Amino acid sequence: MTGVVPQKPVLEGRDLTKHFHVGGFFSPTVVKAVQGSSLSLYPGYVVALVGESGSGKSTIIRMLARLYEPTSGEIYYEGEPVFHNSNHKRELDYRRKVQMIFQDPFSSLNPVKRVGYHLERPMILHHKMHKKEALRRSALELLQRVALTPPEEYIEKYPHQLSGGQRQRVAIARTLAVSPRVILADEPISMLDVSIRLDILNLMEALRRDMNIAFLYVTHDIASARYFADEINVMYAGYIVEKANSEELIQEPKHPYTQMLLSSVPDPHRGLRTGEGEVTGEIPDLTTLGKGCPFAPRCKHAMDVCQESMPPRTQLSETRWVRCYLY
Amino acid sequence: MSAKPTSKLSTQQTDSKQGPLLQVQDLQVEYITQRGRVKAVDGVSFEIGYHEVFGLAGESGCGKSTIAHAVTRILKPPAYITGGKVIFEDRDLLSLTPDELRSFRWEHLSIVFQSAMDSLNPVLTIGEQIVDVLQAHLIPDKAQARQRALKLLTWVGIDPKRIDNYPHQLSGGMRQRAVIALALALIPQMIILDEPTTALDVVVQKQIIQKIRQLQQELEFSVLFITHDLSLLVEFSDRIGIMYAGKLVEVAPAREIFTAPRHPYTRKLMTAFPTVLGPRRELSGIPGSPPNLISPPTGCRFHPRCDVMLGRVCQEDLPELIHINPDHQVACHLVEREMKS
Repeated sequence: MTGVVPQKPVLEGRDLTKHFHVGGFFSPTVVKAVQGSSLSLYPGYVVALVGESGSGKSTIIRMLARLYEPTSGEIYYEGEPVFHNSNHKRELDYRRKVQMIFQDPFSSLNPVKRVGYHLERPMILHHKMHKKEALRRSALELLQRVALTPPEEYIEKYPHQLSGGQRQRVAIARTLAVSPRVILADEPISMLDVSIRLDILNLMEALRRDMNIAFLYVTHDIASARYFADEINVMYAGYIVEKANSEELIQEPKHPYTQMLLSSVPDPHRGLRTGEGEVTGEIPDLTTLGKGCPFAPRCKHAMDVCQESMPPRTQLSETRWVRCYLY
Repeated sequence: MSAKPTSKLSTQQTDSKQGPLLQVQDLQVEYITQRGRVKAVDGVSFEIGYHEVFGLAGESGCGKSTIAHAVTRILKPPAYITGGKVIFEDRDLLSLTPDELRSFRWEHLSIVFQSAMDSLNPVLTIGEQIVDVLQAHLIPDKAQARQRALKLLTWVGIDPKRIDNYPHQLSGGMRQRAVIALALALIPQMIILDEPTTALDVVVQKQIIQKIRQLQQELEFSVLFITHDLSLLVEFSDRIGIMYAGKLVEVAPAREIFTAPRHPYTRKLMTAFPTVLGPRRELSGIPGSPPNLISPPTGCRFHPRCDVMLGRVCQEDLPELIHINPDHQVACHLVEREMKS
């Protein structure tokens, strides 16, 4: 929540495209999960990627985490391209500096290992730390850092002895164990109870501020993106359709899809049962996308040109752009 | 809506009735496990009127779904109803025989689950599944039942041409609509919606909620709506009950829950989620986590997480649900003390 646009990106995805080949030999099908999407992450800056399921947001985060190889497009780390099959040392280095937090804290921790193991293991692998006392001391510091206190108690626990929020804190502490520059957070709060979500967001906010970590926050919950992120990118059917500073985007959405999304978010301030703005249609099938704008079939402003080709980026100001022929 | 539901197939009349449709009185549900007895629902009482939308909110494990399962009598061991009454009009649901239950469930009360879209039979078309329900209960003639099924699909916003589709040919949102069509098939007096849109996207959620609300007003059924999403609940419900650790801690009209919540838990909960319309401000969650119900805290169950705890009275005495005005009930010693002074 700095509101300042920093200068040099630490991690950048340029024109990322990912197509999945599915279906059998006789019915080969291509799922166009992500198409020509670019994204820049800056130290101490939170970028949110908001979209519905199937919009491609998880695919982008996985390409950046190097879990998927992009079909085309490049990833740049501190201005240097990150190549596939580069040498082992560089690969390991990338994975240390770019860490990921997963959605489900119930499956991302090893059920038969204690909390301490989860924190010490990455330090052994990446920092070549082997001294038992040093490892333990660092692990205790990490637990303190994510507010699992007293740390001496938590370090001995197994994941099943922890609540969802506590597990997510362990997962965050694990990413911190290797001093990352970038944290990719894939729906980190969506499986947690309402009363503890805010504290996890506030914890990540503290890490951004105190440790100058670059965050990519992937979520379907645009209200939480508004709370945590400096900048919001809205995705629809594989395309980033709009990018703006969070507050700008919330107050004045430009893309018709962003407008529809914002009017669909339940909000107690809206007053009761106002039936405004009937929303229509569903997300298109990603295997049969035409050449036009994927939102056109649901869009009340759709014009002939929208059926023809995907609109290019229209730069509206220094910090915001939209892909829509209305602008 | 293209097809107005004109002919009521159900036998019940929906003339304006007096009194509540559903009364839950001092309901107790326990899970009997090897590690001990878990009181998942501990003495919960509430009423739902005719044509009313009652929302039940709380975090996971607070007992809200268990209530839905108890009311519909679909609890399975190790869960047992150990006390209380559930009265539906003049029937005592807890004493119905399995035969009576079978017809009661679809004709008077139906339920839609969170993962209901996955509960459709994958090898039958949605039309066959709806016709099956209709034939078993009300319309033995297959052709008539199919006509009725077409109409039901139109009601919930599915193109009737889709009647011969299999579930896998429909999107998640459409499958959930199909399940709602099934629940509505016999126009029950009440539908229980247990997190009906949690697995869906917000845009689809909005479509479905609007649809349910519209049908609810036209067909005049009551709704028990269960969710952890307070924003959705405040938008959708007439009245709301807030649950914490197996207890109902506050019951009030939806507007009052949002504008003037009184229980410290509700107050915290209402500021524990960011919104898109309100001001952007610093927010915080509630410290700690919901208690383990095998050994719940003594006294008020929220006291270990409460920042306005009074002391011994909160630690030792369980607060009763009291009326602070005719529509608004709260179970809190602090509120009770403020009322008296």
